[in-house]
Order: sequence, then C-alpha cells, then structure tokens
Amino acid sequence: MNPFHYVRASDTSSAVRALADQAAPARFLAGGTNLIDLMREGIERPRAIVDITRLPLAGIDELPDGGVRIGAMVRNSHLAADRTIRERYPLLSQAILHGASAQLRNMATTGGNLMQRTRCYYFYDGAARCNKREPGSGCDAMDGFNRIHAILGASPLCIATHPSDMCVALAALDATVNLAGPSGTRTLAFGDFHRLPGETPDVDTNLQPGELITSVDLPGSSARLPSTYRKVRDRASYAFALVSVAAALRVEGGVVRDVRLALGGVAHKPWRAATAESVLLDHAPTPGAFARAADAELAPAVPLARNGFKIVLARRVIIATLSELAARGAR
Amino acid sequence: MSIIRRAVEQIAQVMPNRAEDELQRSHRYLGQPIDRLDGVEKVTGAARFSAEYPVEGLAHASIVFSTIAKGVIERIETAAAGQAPGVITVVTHLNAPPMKVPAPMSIGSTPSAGSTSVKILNTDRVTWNGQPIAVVVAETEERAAHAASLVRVTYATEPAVTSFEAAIAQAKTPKDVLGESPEIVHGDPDEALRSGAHAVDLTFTTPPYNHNAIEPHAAIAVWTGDDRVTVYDTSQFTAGGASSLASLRPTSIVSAPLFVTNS
Repeated sequence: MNPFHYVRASDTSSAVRALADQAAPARFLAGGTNLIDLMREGIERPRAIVDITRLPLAGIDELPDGGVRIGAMVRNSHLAADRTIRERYPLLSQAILHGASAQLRNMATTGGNLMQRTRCYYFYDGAARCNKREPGSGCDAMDGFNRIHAILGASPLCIATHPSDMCVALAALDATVNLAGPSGTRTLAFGDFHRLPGETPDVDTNLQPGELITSVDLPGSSARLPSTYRKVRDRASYAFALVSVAAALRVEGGVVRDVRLALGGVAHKPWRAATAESVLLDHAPTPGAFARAADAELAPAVPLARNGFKIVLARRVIIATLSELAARGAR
Repeated sequence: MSIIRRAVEQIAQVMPNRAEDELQRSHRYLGQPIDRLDGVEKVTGAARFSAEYPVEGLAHASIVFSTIAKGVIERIETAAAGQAPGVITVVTHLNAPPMKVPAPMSIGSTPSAGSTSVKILNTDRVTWNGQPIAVVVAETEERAAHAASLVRVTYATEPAVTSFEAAIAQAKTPKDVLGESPEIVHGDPDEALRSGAHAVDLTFTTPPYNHNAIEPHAAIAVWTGDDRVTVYDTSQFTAGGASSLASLRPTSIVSAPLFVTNS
C-alpha cells in the first residue's frame, strides 16, 4: 500500500470539494471492501482518500411515484433486509444476498457496489499484462485462464466481467443513479452508468472526474413485479457468478406484458438483455419463446478458449428462470 | 504407528460408506458439532496470534516474491526501497548471509520442517512463482510493505513445467515421506486388478482448494542474547520448526542453537 493523504468529509458538497482539492489520483472511501484490497495489492495507488462514511446518505426513502431512493451509504445488508425493498423489489434483495458474505455485506455500500472493479485474475496480478490496469500493456487473460471472462460486449483489449450481483438486479429494475460533482448534480440511467471496454478498458464507468454517487432510484413502474434472481457459480456461496440472471415477468391474458432480463458474469457491465425482452413482449410465455429469446440475445456471444460453456449455460439459465416465473404466474 | 497414519485410518472409519464404527458409537464427541475451545476468542478477535505478542523495539519485515515461475534474477533494484521512509535494511541474495537449507520435513528422531531444497535468499535462481527473493525491514509494517512494492526485478525467464501431467515423467520416488516408507502395499493390487471379474479404471480430478488460515502468516523473532532467539511462530510442529531454524546457522547472525516457543 502506498502512502496517501486522508480526509474525512461530513457532507456531500464538502466531500466533492475535498476530492477536487486533492492531488490526483484521489478516491472516495465508503465500505472499502474492494478499494482497500486493491490498495494492498498496489493495483490502486491513490495519493488521497476522502472518507465519505459519515455522509448523511444512509436512508431508504419512498418516492412519489411509488419508487424508492436508496442512499449511497446504505449498507448492502440493510438494503437487502429493508421491508420496503423486500415488498416492492424482492429481486434486489435476493441479488444482494447472493453476493459476497454476511461480513462483507455489512460493510459494503450501495454506491461502492456500483464502483467495484473486475475480479479478473490478471487485473489483480501486478506482474501480468492488463490494459485495464495499465493501458496499452496488453491482456494476459486473452490467451490465459479465461474461464470466468466475458462472452458479450468484450473488446480485443479487455475481456473482463463486472462482478456485482446487486447491479444485475438494478439493471433489470431500470434504476437511475444520482450524482454530485464539481459542476453540479445529474442523473444517469443505470444502463448508461457502466461502460463496455471498447478502446478504453481502464474506464469502468461514465462518472466524470470528481463525481460522487449520492443515491440510486428505483422507479415505481418496476415495483412488485413477479421476479427472481438465479446465480450459477463454482461454490454454493462466496463465489462470483459464472452466469447470473435477474428476471421479472408479468403475464396478462396469456401474453407477456412486461419482462425484464439482465445477465451477470457475462460482460464488462451488467448486461440488460433488451433483445430477448423484445422477442418475448406480447408473445405467449412458452418454453419455445424463452429459447428463441435466449438464442436471439446470445447470437452475438463470442467464446474464448475456456469459457464457451458460458454461452450454453446462459441460454439454459435464461430459459429456466423465465420458465420458473411463468409457472409461478400460472399457479 | 505414526500419528498421521493413525489419523488417516480414523478418518477412513468415519467415512459415510463404512459400516457404523464401534469407536463412533462409544465416543460421544465423534461426529458431533462441538464448539472449539478457542472459537469465541477467534471470531471475536480476542485470540492472541503469533504476531500479536507485545515486544519492544519491534521491526517489521515485508517479503518480495518472484513473479515468474522459473529463471534467473538478472537485476534487482533496491535503492528506492532502501531510501523509503522508515526502512532499516533490504536483504536480497546479493547481501544475505549464507544459510544452510533445512533438512526435508521429517518427524523422525531429528525433527525437521524443511519444505524445499532451494537456497532461499542465497541464490539468483527462481524455482517457483512466489519464491521469496527479498526482505524489506522497516520501522512499521506499512512502511515495510510500501518499500517492498518499490523493489524492481528483471529476470531471464526460462520455460517452466507447471502441470502435474507434464512433470510426472520426471517424478522420482523419495527415500521417505515424513520419515516413513513412501510406499505401503497391502496384498497384491496388480494381481487383483488382472484377475478380478470386473476392473474399473477411471481418472478423478479435484479442483484446487486454498488453505485460508484465520491467522496471518507471521512470526516474531526476539534476540534475547547473542546466541539465543525466541520465535513466536504459527506452527503445529514446534520441534521441527525449532530445529530447522537452528540448522540455518547463518554464522554472521547466530552461532548457537535457537530456542523456539510456540504461541
């Protein structure tokens, strides 16, 4: 870990100001469950840390449209256990409880979860080449152990995946992210928050320099949908997803009236399966339709040497998850 | 019968496909979820680990590990680490005192905890990825760790054999394993396989498992005289650890037997 300057902020505007005043690179510190690890490994070498754990952003508040505003400092464990969240957005609660461990969820925050970085082995190994860690150095994952890597949206420079479970649910639920920065506040659609690697895999998100996540909103239109989160991984707990599926399905009069589908473990960002959704909308929720939707979504998938199984797995998990929801609705 | 063999046979007796065992029936603790004596202390942080004994004037060491599996250290730059705040010294193969390699792991009459034939810190050769190649000593743990991250190494890399399948052709049968015969044969397995009505020949592989101890891998060494050192070690094998440490005998550091205390 490199020596760094430490500042503790008491409110949002002073936090943003404090970060702007520090020598770059400076980082906000919330739960620290990923940033501190990265600093210990020398992957992140901030010159300054602005501690935001005292910011008054730990509330879960109802919005006029029936939605919910989740403060950036709400701990994952509190969010998963919150009564309103469990009633209106059980998908989010489920996804959170599928991630990490109880101890980590007690520390990890809502904003921090969005900011966590890939767990690609080569990103974490300072001796390996990694375009995300050191732009232009190359990618040792490309010809290496790439069983856990991306099948969708990857670029020749980076095949890393986003590690979050929570974010897969947020993608499916059409969340929005509220930001505060040196030039004011703004709101990003969740799908626009994370980036695909493209030519700049070192840039994970569309945050501007110095911007801070203040809250995440869930719209009333996503509340109380029949939904479920299914995660496939190498161990029963405390493992990242090989493939995960966040799905919500509302069937009326024998046809799909609302469907939300997002995939984890397959891409550089939580992957909203818009193609699959459009195949299903206004059609009967049959296994055949689910298979067609999965195939359409996965048509552009590209296997690497060791992760071809993910395409087959993603197809099966999509079909199984949607079938489970359809059966639940038919009961 | 050795402790290890006895333990293995006891484990075999509680495997699920065995008939119920007399030992299990008669012993009320076997198979029961019993709390560890020090479990509460460990999960509440109250347990004292080896690195937590209060010692005055303690210096902290941080190890630099190789990042290649096989090759030669061509150049090791330690100037930046040596000049970092709080650094006392940087030890590499270029300045380490000569040390003997401890005898291989053995529980015989002369116990030993040696785990490699590599002359760690006394060679420029790298034999595995993660081999210790430098030790930075500083006034605090953080300063040692930071200075260690400043050491730069250039290697002449050689092709490494990194899979069991690739290495098995060169495998040798050792003279002994933990002081015992490396091969134990009951009956005539070759003949049984030849003459049996059915033979099953399958290959099983298991995924890698990491051993994640609660306790950090750390030890404290305290010189209590020119010829005595007390080591607070994280060991289940104090006798072997003590004799292996004593056998290093880097004459420029210590010339008499070492005393090791298990924490």
